[in-house]
Amino acid sequence: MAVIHDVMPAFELFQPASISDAVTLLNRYGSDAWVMAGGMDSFDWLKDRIKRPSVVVDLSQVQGIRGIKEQNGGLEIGAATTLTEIATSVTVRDRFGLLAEAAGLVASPQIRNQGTIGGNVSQDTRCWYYRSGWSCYRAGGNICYADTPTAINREHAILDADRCVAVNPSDTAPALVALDAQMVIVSSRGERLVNAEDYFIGPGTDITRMTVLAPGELLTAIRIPATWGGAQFYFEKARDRNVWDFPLLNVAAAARYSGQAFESIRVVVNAAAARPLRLHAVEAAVVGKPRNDQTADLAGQIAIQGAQPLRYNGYKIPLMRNLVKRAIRGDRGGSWTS
Amino acid sequence: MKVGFSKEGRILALDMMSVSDNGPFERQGDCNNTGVISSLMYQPEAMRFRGISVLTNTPPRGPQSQPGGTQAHMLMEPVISKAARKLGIDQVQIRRINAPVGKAPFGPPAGPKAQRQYVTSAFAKEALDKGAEIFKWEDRKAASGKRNGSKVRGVGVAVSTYSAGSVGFDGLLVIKPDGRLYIQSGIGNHGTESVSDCHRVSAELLGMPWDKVEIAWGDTSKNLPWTCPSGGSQTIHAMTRAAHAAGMDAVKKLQAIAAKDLGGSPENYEVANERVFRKGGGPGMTFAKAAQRAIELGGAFDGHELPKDINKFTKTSATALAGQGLMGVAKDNYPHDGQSRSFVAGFAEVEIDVETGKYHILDYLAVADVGTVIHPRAVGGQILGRSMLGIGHAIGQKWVYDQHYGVALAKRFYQNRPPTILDTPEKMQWATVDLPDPETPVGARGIGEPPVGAGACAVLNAISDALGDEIYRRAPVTLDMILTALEAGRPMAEPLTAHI
Repeated sequence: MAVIHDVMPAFELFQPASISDAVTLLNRYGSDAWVMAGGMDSFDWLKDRIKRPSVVVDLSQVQGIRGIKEQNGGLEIGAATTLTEIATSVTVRDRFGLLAEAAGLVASPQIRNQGTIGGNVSQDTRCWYYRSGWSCYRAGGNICYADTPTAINREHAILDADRCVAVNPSDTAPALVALDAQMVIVSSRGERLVNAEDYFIGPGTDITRMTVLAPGELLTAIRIPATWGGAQFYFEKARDRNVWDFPLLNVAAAARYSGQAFESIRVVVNAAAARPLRLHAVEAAVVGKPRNDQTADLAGQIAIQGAQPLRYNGYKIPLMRNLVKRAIRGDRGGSWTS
Repeated sequence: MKVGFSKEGRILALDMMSVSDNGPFERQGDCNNTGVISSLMYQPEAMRFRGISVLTNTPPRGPQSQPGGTQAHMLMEPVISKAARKLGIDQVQIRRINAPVGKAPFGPPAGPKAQRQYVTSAFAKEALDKGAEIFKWEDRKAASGKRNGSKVRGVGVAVSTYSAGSVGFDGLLVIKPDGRLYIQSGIGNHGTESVSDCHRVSAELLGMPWDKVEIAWGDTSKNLPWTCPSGGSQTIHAMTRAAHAAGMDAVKKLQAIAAKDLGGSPENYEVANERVFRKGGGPGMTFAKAAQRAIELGGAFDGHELPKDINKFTKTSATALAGQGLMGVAKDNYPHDGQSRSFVAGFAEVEIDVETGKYHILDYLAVADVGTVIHPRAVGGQILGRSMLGIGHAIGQKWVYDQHYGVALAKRFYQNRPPTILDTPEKMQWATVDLPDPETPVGARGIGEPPVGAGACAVLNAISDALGDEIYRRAPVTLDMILTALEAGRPMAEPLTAHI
């Protein structure tokens, strides 16, 4: 286990200026290439020598992957757009405030200035065993160190674990899933669109990856359809500190009403599993019901069905129940009176 | 730990056993200090203490601040709060009842006469009283525990103490014929400003305007005197004493030169306004002139003869400076009956969201008994800075290692979670009692470490005040502990697993 910290290892650095150049490089170097946007996920891996790519493709000079455009009543957001740009964008805040709020709660102001939306949704898990270079399932080994009787797993999964109990640490991912966003993925074979809900994958699909992005592929943009523009949103992030923490859990919801009842709704929770979980059962249960404590309580109970605690993360079950409850109640329970 | 209280809240007996997870290498002293600090701060009428330090196959560690003291308060304070609730006694009052007063004893009996150590002075009650007034304790207490939606507020008070000064270091200064005062400062500059603050004592004794004082510091090649290390909360106490000694030595030499040149005896002269002159008016001379005369007279006046008791280090520095003017050089030989300790009373108000367990600190006040205040802004910075260090221990700062493999897991700041600027209380205030310590000429005691425990425990006690005693058995108290305890109606976190 390498303990050499804070010194950058040697690698070949490419700074392509276009998407096609970047894709050509990724195609040429395949799994030897590391894609770097803001560097917020990359630097720890590289400095700790846990990941040792021979090639780093830095996206900072690539034209056409940064910025927010209105498109067909929705938005297209370049993958290299910073989280600060998204959190402060009037366009995003006006109609897709859910995403602006989620982006504004990521990490710290300094990290949001540097970190990108593409990086935030594509970052690797923060499981500290895996991040320390332990040879676990996710790292190609045959054990999960976080799921043992003595493991320290306060921040690990309560749902959908499959050998690996790591969670997805993104705040923007659940907001994008709730907004029915689509991910634009470019490779030498051309462009493909993947629904945000399908972009994130659990260990049952591929235990070594958090997303569908394969070697040679590049996330270039995120499209948000008009569907949920101007809907009622709820986002809440539970964390230990008031800044600079990954979520212990977060919840993102978008809802439309007909009269007093829910007409349609999306409810998504992250940091409960290896991918953001869209709570289809909750959505189905609340549609047609009024927004009140009873519906909220029901939603909270449904949300946690099947949840299984590890040694130290049992709190996530009532926390998830209450966050979902609050999302349905929509009472801004997460804001503070003073 | 077992604590027996009288109906009035007085601690009659304390039985404490402290087991320290020492790590793999050098011995840590925290374990014994938990007993010593508990015996001082809470003055139990009878006490048994047992301490064991266990070598463990875990990552190496070292003390951070207030070693042993922070742990003592974090063990004792929640128990005292619980006792106050059970006895129906106000939280400020129960700490007042048990607070040390005057030359309060502490630690075990030792030596052939089985005597206990005692402090130089203690004004902990005064700190509690002043804090209760500024914080409007009675008003806030009445509002504590009331629900507002999913939020509930609580108020907490806690006391804390730690070492606050050493003795026996040297002061060194020279008044040169240019009429300026050159002070040699061996104090390490950690940003607390004690590197210069301590020497205001010499300038004040000599009546020298501060803008005519030059301070040499920062490097042992600059002929600096033997000085305490910048640690252990000792500097302001130790080095104001040394500065006083050097300043008084210079005053005596000024008086002696005036008497020699202008007649009469040294006691007939006083110093002020950059002059030494006859009391009640009469002849005198400027410091510039006296410095010139010191060089002409030589001997002890300009540093060619030095006191026998100064440290070798000071002797070398003074010898290098000899012949440049009138030298003040002396060891701190002032009496010092007792051990110097400072005291802090901390007050906190928190708001807890019972649906998530997350809480915010709305307000924090620390009132410190630090003796005479030398530099208000610097002491305020120390009080709140170290309070925040303690608050970090209460709210989330942790270190985590895998208990099976003994390997550190929380290696980065986003994992071990020291408090950030946004975790500071929304309001933070400080105040001092400002009563001089009688066992040091300037009256000032140190304040580096004493605030830590009060910061940590005022917050912990506020949580219990809002939610009851069945929430936590260890710190940091994070939202998961609060939420699971509220769900289960009893503490759910393992008491002996400190950090997860």
